[in-house]
Amino acid sequence: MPGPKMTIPTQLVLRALLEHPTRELYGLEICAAAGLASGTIHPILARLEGLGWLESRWEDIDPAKEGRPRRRYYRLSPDGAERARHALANARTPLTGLPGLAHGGGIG
Amino acid sequence: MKRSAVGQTLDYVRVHYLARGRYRVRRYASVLVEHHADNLQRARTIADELAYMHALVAARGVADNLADARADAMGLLRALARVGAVASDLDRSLSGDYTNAADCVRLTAELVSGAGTLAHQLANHLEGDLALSHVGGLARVLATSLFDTRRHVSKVGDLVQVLSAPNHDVGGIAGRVTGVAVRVLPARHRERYRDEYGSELHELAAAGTPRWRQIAYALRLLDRSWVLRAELRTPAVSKARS
Repeated sequence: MPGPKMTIPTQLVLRALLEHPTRELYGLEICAAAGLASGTIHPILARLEGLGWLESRWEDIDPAKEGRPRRRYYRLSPDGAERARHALANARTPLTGLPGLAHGGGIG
Repeated sequence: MKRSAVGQTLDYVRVHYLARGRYRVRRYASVLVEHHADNLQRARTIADELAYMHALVAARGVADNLADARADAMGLLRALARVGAVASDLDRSLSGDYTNAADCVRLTAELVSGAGTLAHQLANHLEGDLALSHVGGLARVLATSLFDTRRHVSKVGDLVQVLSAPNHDVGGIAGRVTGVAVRVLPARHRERYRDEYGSELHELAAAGTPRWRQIAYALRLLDRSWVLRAELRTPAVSKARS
């Protein structure tokens, strides 16, 4: 199955997830790592998850005990990580070609 | 960096929201001053009426009950004088930087409650006294009025809390906005995103994010909810390269 359209925000999200492929991140962490405005990543995550590139799960905690709601964690699937690397390498508008975005510069 | 149209709009929303809150709290404070003036006038009428009755009956040596009532009325006037002083401090604080506003509200609430209790006691005290029942009626009206004033002080307190605690979305505006954002989504996905958005709002608040930023976050979720809805309704195969 071909990958998603590699928009700049999609590339930023993938790059953030690939920095620590085995680590799980929740939404706000992904926003911060990608340098994207909070509240803008959920459509991208839904698309990547729908394609099987991402896996997500609820944090396994007792909210009452922890005093906070459980987080939704995301990470690249093994296959998704490989596909993401390939897609980033072949992106028509690579991040390295855009000043200010290559090192996590925010947009939005 | 030049701010985007969305950023400028969010700034406008924040400024408008705060300005409206400050306007409302000043208006409530003005109403509180009016309440206090009415209450004070009622208490003075009661004290004057009791003084008049005292002059009438003192010569007949049956003024014991009246003397107690007059003492209650004087206590009521003193309590209301303290309410007036603290309400003035509150008004000054709300005209400025809200310094001690929360303390003033709390003290005003306590004093108004105390005055209300005194008025209630006075009304009960005079209830069985045929000669003074009309004054008892005035005290009952004052007790009811002070109860309304106490509720009004609570409204002022709620607004002061919202306006002077920038890190918490006390009014729940962000939560309500994300609630709307969730309702846009397909039914089977709503519970997940309701929990996920709620968790993120909680994280933002816990991290000390200013309230207006939490609202901005929720507005972005709402803005993107139609895109997310489309993603969630699109079969996986057609997502590729779409």
